[in-house]
Amino acid sequence: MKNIIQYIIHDLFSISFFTFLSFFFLEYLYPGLITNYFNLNLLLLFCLSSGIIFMMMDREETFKRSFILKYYFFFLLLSFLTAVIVFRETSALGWIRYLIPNLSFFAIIFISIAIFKNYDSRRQN
Amino acid sequence: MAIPFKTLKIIRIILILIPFILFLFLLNKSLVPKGRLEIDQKSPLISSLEPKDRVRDNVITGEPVYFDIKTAFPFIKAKIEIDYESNLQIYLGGLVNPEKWQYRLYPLKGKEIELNLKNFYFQKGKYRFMISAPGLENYPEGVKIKKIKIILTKNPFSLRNLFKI
Repeated sequence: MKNIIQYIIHDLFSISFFTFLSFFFLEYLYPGLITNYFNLNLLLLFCLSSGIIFMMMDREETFKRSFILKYYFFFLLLSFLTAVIVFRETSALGWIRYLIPNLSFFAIIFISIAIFKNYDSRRQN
Repeated sequence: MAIPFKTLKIIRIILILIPFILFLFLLNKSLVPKGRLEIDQKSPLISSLEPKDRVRDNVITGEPVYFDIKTAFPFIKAKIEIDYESNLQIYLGGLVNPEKWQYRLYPLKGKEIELNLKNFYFQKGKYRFMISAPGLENYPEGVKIKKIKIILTKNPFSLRNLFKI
């Protein structure tokens, strides 16, 4: 029973977090698309609450390990979104506009993976 | 206790469907597939009259005043109906050039006006409008705005104009 609740809360957290990110990005691209009719803060509040509850629960090791691939996918997604935002915001910079988003994409991926690996190895020790 | 995999999968599908349905609902609201959107003062899509120190209980005491219409995508025309109490000639128009603070104003004949929104500046999901009443300083009672109703129109949504949004 505890396991079922863990999975459901984990799903609630990951789905609400992914939804928040997608809505936030859509709102950035098309201001008003989401916030004209929906309060994004409520979604963020729900996401944070489910995340905190999930972190407070005792999770099994196998349950934890299954998330590693998801983490990598998440880093990739975040880096891509950041690169798109940087590309849009640097339109006045000329040719450098094509360089900075790529650099930021790889920088975020490498830094995220390095931090995650450091955290993971410390956790295992 | 073993996890009933099927039940978990059903729960997961339901949880994924909820934001997806929410997104479709919001997209439908913003795209306005029929091409006609009617809004009034109570709608969250229209801001209150600003600046606040020129408006008291819906009475314009100083001019000009401004209001915004918030839409995610641009529209082609706006029919604006303003029900007001005053003998003054009211002018209504929209922001044309934000850098020069330039507005294009039209006299309000009767109580409604139809504006071509292509002439106006649209950015960050907003059209900015101005209401001007020259000579208002001689009328201490001000201009009472009873009702503002706006009908925004654009081409109905179809697959042909999918990329022209």
